[in-house]
Amino acid sequence: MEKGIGALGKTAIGSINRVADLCALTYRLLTIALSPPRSGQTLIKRVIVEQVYFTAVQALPVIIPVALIIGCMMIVQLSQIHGQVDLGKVVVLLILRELGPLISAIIVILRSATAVTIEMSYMNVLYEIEALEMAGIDPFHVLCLPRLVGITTAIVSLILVFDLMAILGGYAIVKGVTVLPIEGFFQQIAKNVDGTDIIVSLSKGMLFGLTITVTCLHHGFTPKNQITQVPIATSRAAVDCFFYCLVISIFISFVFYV
Amino acid sequence: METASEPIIEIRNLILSNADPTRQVDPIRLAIHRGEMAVIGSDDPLDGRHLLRVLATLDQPWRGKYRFKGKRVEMNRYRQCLGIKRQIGYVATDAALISNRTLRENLLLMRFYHENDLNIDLDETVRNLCNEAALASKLDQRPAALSGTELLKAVAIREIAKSPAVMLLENPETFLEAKNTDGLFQQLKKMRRKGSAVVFSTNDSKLAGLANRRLTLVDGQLQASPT
Repeated sequence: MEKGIGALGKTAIGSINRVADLCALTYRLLTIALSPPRSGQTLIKRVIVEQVYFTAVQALPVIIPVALIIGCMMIVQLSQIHGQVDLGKVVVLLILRELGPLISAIIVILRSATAVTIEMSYMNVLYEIEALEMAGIDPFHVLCLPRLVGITTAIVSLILVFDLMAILGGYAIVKGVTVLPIEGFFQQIAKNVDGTDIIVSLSKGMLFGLTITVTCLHHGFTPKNQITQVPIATSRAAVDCFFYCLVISIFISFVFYV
Repeated sequence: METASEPIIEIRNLILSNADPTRQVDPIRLAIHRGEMAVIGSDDPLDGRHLLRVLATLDQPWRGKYRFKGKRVEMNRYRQCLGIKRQIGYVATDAALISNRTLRENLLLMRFYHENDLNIDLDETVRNLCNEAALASKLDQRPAALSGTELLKAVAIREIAKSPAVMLLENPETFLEAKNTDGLFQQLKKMRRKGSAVVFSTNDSKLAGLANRRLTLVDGQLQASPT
């Protein structure tokens, strides 16, 4: 019994410590982002551009087909019950508000969050972080800040691409290859989209970007003695990112729509 | 204000570690002066490494007040330590280059950051050192393309390029030879003549013989010696 309570207490303290660490890291990153360092701005900008390229541009061949498939599936299935539901409204509800941000985040987690965790972990284990420090360079400035800005920008951009491809591409494919009744689709969408949907979509993108970056950096920077701890940290980072994104998604939806 | 007689690094009341709390250890004062060449002698290589890392402000001693060029350094103040680290060259046996940057970018990284310019190129000294270390043809390759010795030479060149006040070397015999034909060795001698101090640990008796001071570590504690 005592052992059980002890284990429970240990787990609770561990969880509180982890959340406190994440909050401290978020605060530190936001402080740096709001008052960027004077030195190294050119280098930092270059790393941001590289990060946007890796996370957004290189993800396009993945996100475009996924958006088209999901857009097609939804339009095909929803057109079966055409007349009972407002097709454009349901597409807005599902794609713009929920699926777009979440699927973009999942793709970023699968591609970039794991990569960032591995990169930071290896830099940590192989003394590359120390090499930066010995050059008088704050790793928060050249490693963390560019990843925060790059990943957040990338997710917001990918959400826009996903939404456009799912709606426009999905419509074009269904219209081109089927005889399903989807007349008035764009008019219905235009009628049902309002400013809140755009704000919700972008807010989710920004919060997902912040959460994914902080979670990956936290797992990457956690001290490791052996290289075998890297895959464990990477797996945990991916699962944590996914869980936190789900919680943020439902939280924002509740705030705006309930 | 720095004076010529003032040590570059001074640690007062130094106790390096407290592995055996039952043992009474007397704190000592360690000072590294301009132009000094000190060799670390220790019964355990890890202790020598620990001392080098303490001097580089990468590790904290169990007790001790660190001063750099006469100015007190709080070792738990990260930003202040970064400014000190920039003035210290440190080449450990497991030192690394940034793996996703080319050798040229690695050698220029500190200047890229502090000079805020990505269009600068290697200066003449660094270029010559790269030529002598046979690294010139590998400047645009990633560190993975370098052998272990080449990597350490590259790290040493990167640290020399900082024009550090103190050069800390762990087993320098792995990447340089105490010969006048060795460019890195020559450069270290030149730096020392200009006032930089060199502190190193080594298993090479020839290199150890070049030092004008010996820092002896016994059971992880630095022994009192004239400063």
